[in-house]
Amino acid sequence: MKRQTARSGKNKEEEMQELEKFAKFIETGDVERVRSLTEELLAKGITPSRIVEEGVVPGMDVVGQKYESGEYFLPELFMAGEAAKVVTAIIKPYLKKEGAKALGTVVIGTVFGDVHNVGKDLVASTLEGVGFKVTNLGVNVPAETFVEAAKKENADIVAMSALITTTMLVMKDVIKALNSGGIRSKVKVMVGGAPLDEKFAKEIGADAYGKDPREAVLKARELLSK
Amino acid sequence: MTSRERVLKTINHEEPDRIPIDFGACCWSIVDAPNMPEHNYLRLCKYLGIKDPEPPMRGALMSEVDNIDERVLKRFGVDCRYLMPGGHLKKVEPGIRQGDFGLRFRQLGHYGDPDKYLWRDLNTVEEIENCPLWPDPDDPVYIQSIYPEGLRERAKYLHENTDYAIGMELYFFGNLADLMTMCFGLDKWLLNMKLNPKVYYAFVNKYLNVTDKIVASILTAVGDYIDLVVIYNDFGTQMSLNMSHGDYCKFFRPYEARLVQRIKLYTKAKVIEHSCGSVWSIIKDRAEMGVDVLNPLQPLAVNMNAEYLKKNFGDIMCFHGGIDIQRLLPFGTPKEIREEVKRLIRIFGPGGEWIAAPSHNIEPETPPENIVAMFDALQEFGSYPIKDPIKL
Repeated sequence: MKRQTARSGKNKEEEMQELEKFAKFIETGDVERVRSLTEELLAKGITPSRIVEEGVVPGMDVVGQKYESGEYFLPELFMAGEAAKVVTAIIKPYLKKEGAKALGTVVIGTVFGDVHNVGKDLVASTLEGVGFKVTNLGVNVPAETFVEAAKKENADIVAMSALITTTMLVMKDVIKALNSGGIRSKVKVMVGGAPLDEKFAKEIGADAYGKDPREAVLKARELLSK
Repeated sequence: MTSRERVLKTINHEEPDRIPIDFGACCWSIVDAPNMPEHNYLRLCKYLGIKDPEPPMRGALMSEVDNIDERVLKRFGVDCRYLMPGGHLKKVEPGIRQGDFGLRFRQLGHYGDPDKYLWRDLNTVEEIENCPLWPDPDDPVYIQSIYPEGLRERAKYLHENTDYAIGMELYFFGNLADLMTMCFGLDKWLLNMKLNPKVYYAFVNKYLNVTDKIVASILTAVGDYIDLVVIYNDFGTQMSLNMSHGDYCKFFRPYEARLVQRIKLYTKAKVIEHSCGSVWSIIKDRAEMGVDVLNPLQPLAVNMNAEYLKKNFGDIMCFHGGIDIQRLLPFGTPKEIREEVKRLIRIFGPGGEWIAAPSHNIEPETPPENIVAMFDALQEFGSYPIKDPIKL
């Protein structure tokens, strides 16, 4: 019994070290190492959601911090994003195989008039990685498309991104359209993007604001637990 | 002092008689938004009592008015005039215009936006080099389509019959960073640069080789008659440079230097580089390669405010732009605008080195009285010697 406990304790420690190493590869945008390590970790029985929550999300956290502090720039952000995308692509079939019930359904897009997608795609990948069912509507998404998709997918969360001060105002139109589409009370609205903050989210009647993929996951879970 | 002398003197780091003003000759003017109830530019003309302005010709990308009415320019005391080259965008599908390098634009709100990135899926050196979308610099029909016959005569006419500083841009023949963004997508060209550098270098090298000839033929034709040549390389976000300074020096600087230096082979005109965002960290590099003037001086971006720029770089670089179009011009009052212009004159003005202009296209929401307040304040307070210059 004791030996088993010791072995499983050592395994746990090894797993943690592997995931820390994994997070480092995400942080440095080492796409090839991320690819091979994802396969390795899955083969060792580490769940896809653990890989995302303990590998991708911490790695992206550091990327976000380094970007804000001026140590990282756009290329480093994009490289980390590529690495995260590789993970999502590899773990998707495993998520389906697990047959796990999705944590919730999210419809996500960049609002009409805005074509920024990097941050939004990272949030989409991360939410998917931790177990949400995600429909990514892309960019320049009209309000009606958000509403139609939310209805079609029976969404729990409508998530919007905008990166310009003019297009963030379009989020109000989407919330209005959810109201007039008769589904505002059935969905939670989450918003994100560089010019936004909590105050803006409250002003427009959104339910949550997330400043990065980690917060997006936390808030998404919080919203659905209420 | 003529307008041309005024502009050239200030670029020479000397004080002219008053601060020169630009609006649309170099780097942007005013967005004419056709989908707004009242066209922004026509509303300005109406406000100025100009009842019959020429129908505006809109730039493909930013919807800026390329042919601002001469009466507007005179009213605003504008010292520069735009030599408009030929158009080279053709309508290929409903709502889509396509031009050099296969760039495709659709109208997205006020602006043109890349519709597809036709170079995005090219991932080998051979695919890049053999891509059919490269312009043919040896095709005289193509050269004439982008810089048509009559351009030289127009340039000569403006040079000999007006006193204005004549500005001309090189479109995508003097623009590498934004071109790569529109060919590949911003993420892809930066990823190529870091993860697939052979493909990155294949593109930039072929771009320079192909466009060397095009630039030579344009500037041989008009180089004696223009005063300002405009190139574009957006390189910053609101917070910082797009990439680390190390990456810039390694991957981009040598090519940017060639863009600048090949202009100087053919003309004595000064080089204005348009570069949005927080680009303070590469101003010294650009000065070293021969850029004479930096535009647009996005003042709300980090370290792009007047004080920082003038104090740290005034001795090596001149400035064009600087009057905020993100907040001040659209949302300020005429009184606030007047005070800010006065303040900028006191900072930027001493020693010359500043061509006053909005810090990019004037946005459609901007009330006409605000635009008038800006240009009137420049004319009223811009005479030398500058009153109460701010010591930095």
